[in-house]
Amino acid sequence: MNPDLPPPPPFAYRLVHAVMWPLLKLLGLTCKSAFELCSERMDRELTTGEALRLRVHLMMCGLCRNLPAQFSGMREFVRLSHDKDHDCHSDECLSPEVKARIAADLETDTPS
Amino acid sequence: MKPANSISIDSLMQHADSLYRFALSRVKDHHTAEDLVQDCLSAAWQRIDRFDGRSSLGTWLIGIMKFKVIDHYRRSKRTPSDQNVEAADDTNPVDWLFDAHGSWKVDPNHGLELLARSPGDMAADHEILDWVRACLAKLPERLEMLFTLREVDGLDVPAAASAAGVTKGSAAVLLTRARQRMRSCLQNHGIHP
Repeated sequence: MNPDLPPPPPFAYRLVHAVMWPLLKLLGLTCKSAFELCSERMDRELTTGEALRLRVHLMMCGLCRNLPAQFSGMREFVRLSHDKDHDCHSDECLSPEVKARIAADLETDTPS
Repeated sequence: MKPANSISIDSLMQHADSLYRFALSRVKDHHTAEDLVQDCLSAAWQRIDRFDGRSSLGTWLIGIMKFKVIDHYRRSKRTPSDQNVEAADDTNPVDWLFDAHGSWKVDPNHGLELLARSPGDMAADHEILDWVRACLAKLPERLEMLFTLREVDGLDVPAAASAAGVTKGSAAVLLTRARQRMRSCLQNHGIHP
């Protein structure tokens, strides 16, 4: 068990899902299915049936409604974190010696 | 005059640090990253006449570096089946989110409020971006590689799977796991306004 688990969902959600889960499972509209489809939508186009199931689920489940935006936002944050500019006071920059060596090697290369 | 005619070694070297950081963020080894920078700049200099100036020089060089990194992954990988065993040898992080009926056991929005807003507006917040980088670094190596190739470099799933050394069939499951690990890590930090 992860000790840092987020809090449980609101009581109203748990009540509704305690009653509705057989129907949701039968129709392939569970929150787990929606979560997996939201992730897969980041990598491929969903089939018409999958897209419809996801849309219906997101319309009726307030807890899952933000998942598409969360996945898109995470992609953007991850890209931004890679684009982040660094000052050259860390070890994440080439040393002057290595730069000089690379430049010297380039001098000996002739562009084709 | 073609833009390539005005490119000098000095102007290529001005991008050496950003190329190095790009390589280091993916291969995690200083010496390998240095070698990749050298390979990238050498390849760029050899083909400098192909630079047509439609993109910036930095963008063109990063494009070359992406291929160098992927080549490195391909050369260093073990067989796909080995990688799948390694990647699968862990509890599926999605399983403990849901009960047996597929309903949430935890609040999926807790601590992730800002993810659903506009990350672009948060670009100046280095603390959040540092945390994102830290969470990325906590992913198992193959997951991080696959996730970065897909999410940052924008490779399609078959290309990312091939470069990361996992089978195409397992890539979708592994990407979902990577995304959930990232969500959990960010939730623990709390991406609050």
